[in-house]
Amino acid sequence: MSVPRFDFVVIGSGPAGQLAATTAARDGRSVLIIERDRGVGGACVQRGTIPSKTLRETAAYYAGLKVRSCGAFDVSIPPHIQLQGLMSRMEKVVTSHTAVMSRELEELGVEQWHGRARFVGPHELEVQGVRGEPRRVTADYIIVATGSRPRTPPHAPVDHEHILDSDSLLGTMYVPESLTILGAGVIAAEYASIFASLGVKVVMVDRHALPIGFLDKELSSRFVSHFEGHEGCRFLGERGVLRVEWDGVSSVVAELDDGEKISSEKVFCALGRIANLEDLNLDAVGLAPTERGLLAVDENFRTQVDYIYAVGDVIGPPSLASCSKDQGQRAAFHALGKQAPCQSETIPIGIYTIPEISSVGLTEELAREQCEPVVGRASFAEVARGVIGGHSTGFVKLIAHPGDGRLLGAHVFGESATELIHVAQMVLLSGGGVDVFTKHVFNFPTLAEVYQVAARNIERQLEAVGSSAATARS
Amino acid sequence: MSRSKSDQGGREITEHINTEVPTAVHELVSGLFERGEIELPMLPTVANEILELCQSEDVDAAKLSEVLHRDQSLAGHVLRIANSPIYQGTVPIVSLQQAVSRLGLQALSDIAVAVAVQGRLFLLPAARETAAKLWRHALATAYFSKEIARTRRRNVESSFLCGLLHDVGKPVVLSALLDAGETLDMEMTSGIQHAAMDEFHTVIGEALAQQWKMPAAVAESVRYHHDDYDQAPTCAEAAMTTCLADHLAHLTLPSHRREVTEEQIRDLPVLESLNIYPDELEALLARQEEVLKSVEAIG
Repeated sequence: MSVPRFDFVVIGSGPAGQLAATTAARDGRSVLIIERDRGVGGACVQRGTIPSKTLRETAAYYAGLKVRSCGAFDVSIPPHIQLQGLMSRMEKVVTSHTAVMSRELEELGVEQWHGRARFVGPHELEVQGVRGEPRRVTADYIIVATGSRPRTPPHAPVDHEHILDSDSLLGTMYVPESLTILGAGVIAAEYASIFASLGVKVVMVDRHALPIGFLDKELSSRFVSHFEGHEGCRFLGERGVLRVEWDGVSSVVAELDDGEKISSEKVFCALGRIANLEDLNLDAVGLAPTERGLLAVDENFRTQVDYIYAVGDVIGPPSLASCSKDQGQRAAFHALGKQAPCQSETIPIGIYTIPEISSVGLTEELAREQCEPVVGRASFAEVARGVIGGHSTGFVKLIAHPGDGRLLGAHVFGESATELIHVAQMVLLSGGGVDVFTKHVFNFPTLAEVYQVAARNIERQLEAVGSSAATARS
Repeated sequence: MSRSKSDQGGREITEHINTEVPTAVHELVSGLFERGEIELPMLPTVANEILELCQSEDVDAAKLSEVLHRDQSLAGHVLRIANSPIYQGTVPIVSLQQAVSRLGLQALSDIAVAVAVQGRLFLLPAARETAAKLWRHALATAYFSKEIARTRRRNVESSFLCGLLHDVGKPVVLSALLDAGETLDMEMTSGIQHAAMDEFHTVIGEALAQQWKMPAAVAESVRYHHDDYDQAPTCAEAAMTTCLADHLAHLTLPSHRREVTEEQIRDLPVLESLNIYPDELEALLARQEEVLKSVEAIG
């Protein structure tokens, strides 16, 4: 029997793999996508993004109702409520999303195989299904998008019972009364805020001084401030964890390097992720993981083997769906010999904490490496919609070039941040200045008006120093 | 009398039992079910162990939790009482660990003693032997459920409870049959007992789980843990996990009725439903000795 051949084989159907496959398919190429899980979407859909955002939605509504009800309703989530009850729509959401993605792939003529792929020689893969004999396939280009899984450090042995990770946390039958979270990355911060909003006493512990370190520092600080506003919630930065042990009865005890012992009902370990590379038999094509267990790639996401690309979590952080999509698309375009349309500097970052955090472009720290940026801030409390909705803790920070007021970066903390950021993204994509916000009328009352307040703040600063931009616009 | 039927791999297996349930027995069990007169008895050895544990001055919390986590009847009764109006807060207790954490040692001891003293016991030696086999199978299923959940990186606590209680209907049926033996003037042979347990245990077990306010995953695992797992309305994954664990437990602890082979396990359709690859199944099969030792250690 002849071995089937495709122009592209994509291993993994998460955000990176999907974009790679659909990009190649839209160019008229023959594409096969191989997924080891049942249903497309990868960990993002099946265990990460969709399930956690479904729970987040409930927690956010509860948090919002508390504020908006002004005490008219006694709003409280009973301790130990069944977690599944708060996520009752999850299976429907996952099924629906998976069906939509699968249909899109089908409509583009992308063939889908269910199984685990491994390299067996140049341009050739073997795919083992759950049952039956393995089958082989060859391709001109192979894109590795196999994603990652939670890391289990030796001092915090995840047992999926008392010490959980992001794969097992949402399978818990009930909301615990207390939760210790090891880590302060995106996943740790999202779950910390979700469970804090549900009334759980959450303690976050991490070696870094602030959570989500790649963000503009002001956003990270604001997150900590908001998180610690929940009763019993603490962020313990610059601390290490020596060991985590179940006491055999009802508590997990985390012993810190400063001697403090934190006892909680459950521990959630969010200390990074490991690339899923061990099943690929990389040796067969002369590849090997780096010391950090990742696949090394160049700026076009190509490995040392010129027909093999790698995208998404397998190449390392930031491990965000938006970035992974961009990588998948760019890798496919490069293999096709074409220029990718997207500029990676304008890929927004969305973090689904409560409230949300979102950024696009340069942080203030990065901007200061290039110039003396002008920074404008505005609180959601400065616009009517922010007060009406009880979103007073939200804020926007704009970073502008001192010479011409060109927008360099935008950062939002607060309700709908991940939606609002796209307004700033469009300004960045067009190379516009902050005057784009001030010279155009927005709907009233809206949260987006907060951009105008921050932009006017920048314009006043520019005027004060008599910049050329301010002079030209006066 | 024996008959042949197909196993889930499509092969013929012969059951060396009388699989016909007499009409009188059928009506009896159905009647008890319709009237809600279903009771779950306990093994005397477990009852004694509880009493000994809880009557010492310093109750060993870890030991009490361990007994709770390995006995189907005790687990079921503790959860039932924990969810009764006296103890229940505003939400039901849905896991054994939650019961330990939320009730605390004193309340847990009180409940366990009440169950041990007041509960029905399997007193007849023959019944005790059958019940003990059921308990061992339940515990083996619970252990395998945990391992399957770990393999699939799912929460273990939920899977364990589903496994432990999956056949909770069988001792209920057994107890009812033994009581009815005299009334019906009929010898409840081993064949009748097992045929009746096979026929009724899923619906009776589901009714018990719902009555005790167990989470949907448990109720559906009790009802749909055979080859009908895809009929579970909301928790098919839990039902599938319990189904596979049930098979693995049968392989590890062969009942007196039938034996399951590793080849049959490898052909189970539920493996595909759970997305368990051949190497992952081999790792689960390799745990048989460990599970067997754990179950036999308890007796």
